[in-house]
Amino acid sequence: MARKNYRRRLKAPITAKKGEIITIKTMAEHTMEPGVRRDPETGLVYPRFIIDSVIVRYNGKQIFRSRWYSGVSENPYMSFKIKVEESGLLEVEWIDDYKQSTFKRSVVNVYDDEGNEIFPLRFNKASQLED
Amino acid sequence: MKFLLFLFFVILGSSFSLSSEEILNNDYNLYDRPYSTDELRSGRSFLKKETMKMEIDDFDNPGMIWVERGKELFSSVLGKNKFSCLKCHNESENSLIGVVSNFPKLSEDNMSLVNLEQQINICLKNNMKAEPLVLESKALLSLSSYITFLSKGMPVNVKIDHNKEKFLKKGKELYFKRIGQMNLACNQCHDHLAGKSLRAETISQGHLNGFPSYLLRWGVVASAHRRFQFCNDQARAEPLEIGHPDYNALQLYITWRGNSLLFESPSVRR
Repeated sequence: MARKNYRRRLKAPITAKKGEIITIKTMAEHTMEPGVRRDPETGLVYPRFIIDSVIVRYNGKQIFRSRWYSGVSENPYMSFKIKVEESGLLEVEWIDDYKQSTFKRSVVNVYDDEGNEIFPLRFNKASQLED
Repeated sequence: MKFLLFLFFVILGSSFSLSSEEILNNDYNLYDRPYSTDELRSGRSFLKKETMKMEIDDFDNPGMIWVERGKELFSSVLGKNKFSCLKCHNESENSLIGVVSNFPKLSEDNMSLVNLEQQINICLKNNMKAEPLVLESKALLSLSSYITFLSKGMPVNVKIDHNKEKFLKKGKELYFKRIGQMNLACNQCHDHLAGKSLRAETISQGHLNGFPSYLLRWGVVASAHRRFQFCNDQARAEPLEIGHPDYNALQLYITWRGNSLLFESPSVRR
């Protein structure tokens, strides 16, 4: 239930050319409690609650993993650039302190100069073997 | 007897006289505005480049998270009567586009002003038989920022009629009233010193066309009333509670003062 209140946003272009560098923007809604603040009345420390790692995958293959520590601001925004060679599924995973993970996915269609889509599957692999 | 009546009226009149010296010194006219239409500058034009970039892009703007959540809440079924807001307010009837200019509006008995947040609660309570939301809660601000977002890009157009006039007067008095240990009034900064810097920050003209707004200092969307509280705190005055009638009057005056600016909620402010 609680997880439903936390929104994740991902923005990536739907189409791209082969070898193009695309910009991807992500935003996670999160309190990012650093674990050092105190309740002004009782003096109790609010327990740390942050997103501590973000993993980005393209077609199931990990592109990078970033480790975050306390000090990252609320509602963290992250953008990065990747070079695409084939169509695929872009997947961003946010994992918090309690190992709860949330996903957001988006499909990027990559075309070559003639307008044909480049699929991640190799259909002509058999014919290559014959050569 | 006549003399007594006269005395009575003199006392009555003096008790209603303006509290601030500033107003008394000038030729007082209720409908005087500090800025003419050409001089009006929205809070956006006082921002730094990076913040401005963040505000203009719909994805980078964190306030849009609240708007999206508000859109979901708007179409979800709430309360005992089991219908959503969308049943009465859809595109064909009772459309909420451009409705924000009417707020704060008069209550049904013409005795007080009602905020947009308070109006949502009234609607929830009376029509939908749902529990009213807590003021300044996440759900209520989501709803109000979604409704304000619907009229984004439309000019502020607050009309003052006979009944609203006394609230405008009250708001103007509060605006010019010196308060707190610092002995400051709103007009001292926002009318005379706009564009100059107060430590690291630039003083804006103090318009409300961007509220509810995402404030970077708190990392949440805040209503105009919470911003007033913060302003009072800065002047070392005792803040009133959110939803107080005085704040509603002040909100009416400040919104009216920025007539013909464009609505740009959810905006991003420091």
